[in-house]
Amino acid sequence: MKQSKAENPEDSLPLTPAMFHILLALADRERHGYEIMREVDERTEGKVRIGPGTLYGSIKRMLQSGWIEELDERPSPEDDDERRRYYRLSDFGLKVAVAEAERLDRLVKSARIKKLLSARS
Amino acid sequence: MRKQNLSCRVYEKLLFAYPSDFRETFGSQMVQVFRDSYFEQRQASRGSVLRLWVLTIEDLVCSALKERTESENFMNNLRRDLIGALGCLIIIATAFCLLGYGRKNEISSIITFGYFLDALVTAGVIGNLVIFLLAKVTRLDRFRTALYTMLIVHAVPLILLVLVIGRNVPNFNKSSTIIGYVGSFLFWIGLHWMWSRSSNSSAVGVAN
Repeated sequence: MKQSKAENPEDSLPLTPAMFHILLALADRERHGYEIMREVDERTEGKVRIGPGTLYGSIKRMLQSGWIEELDERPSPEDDDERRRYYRLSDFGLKVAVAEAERLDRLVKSARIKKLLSARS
Repeated sequence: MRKQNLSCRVYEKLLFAYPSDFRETFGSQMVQVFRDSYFEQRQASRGSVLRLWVLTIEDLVCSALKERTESENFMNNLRRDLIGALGCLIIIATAFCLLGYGRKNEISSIITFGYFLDALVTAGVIGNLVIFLLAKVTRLDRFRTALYTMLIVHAVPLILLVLVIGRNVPNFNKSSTIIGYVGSFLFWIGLHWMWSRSSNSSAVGVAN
């Protein structure tokens, strides 16, 4: 895969919702495609559903940008389907995810200052 | 291993909507993900399967369009397809107008070529449409596809004309019809041969 890493994680922002959800799913551990879909579905209580096309389109772009990596070894070979491919966050991908989380955090703080959040609650 | 069911097979076929390089890299994983989702939803209810299909089709249309437009060859292929389609349309429209004009005004020089122009329009429309569709959804050799398609779309009407009309209509000009269809076949296949040659040379140019 082509590597086209940006020097600064901030240069890659803002991320698409699908990309950020995938990075979040991979933040705690490596997962295969279906696990990523399930994690996003469960975490968002079914509000966000990523289809196979969007999932692998995003995975393709993130592999090219060096945000995620494909694992060579199997996490648990004894109870695993060997046709699956596992992905994990790279160091640079983690920095991009953190930068996006901070950007969203600043956005939410702005919304709070403008009383948008308190007005709704 | 789970048996491949109809839904998974259909989804596998639908992956032809994606560019070939994307399909080769991620196609099997996408089918695997769809299969897992399908069996999970099937255990839930029939309605869940329907919902899965709706979401999958929506996802497929949006993501395939995105992958296609971002593909490096997309603009080159689009330009080539448009030039090819426009060229065919101009040839067919010219032949059609010429034939209509010649018959209306009884111009003998055009009527002499009437059988050829007739075959050029009829077989050209059907044949080129089939060739275009086959080129888009399969990975068959372009020239061979054109050769066999043009052979079929010329041979079938010719045999029908000769066998059905040739036996029942006394004034039917059998030899001119055969010459017309053979001429049309050679014309179209010559054009596709030149087209495939130019495609190959431009592909080599790109590779270099």
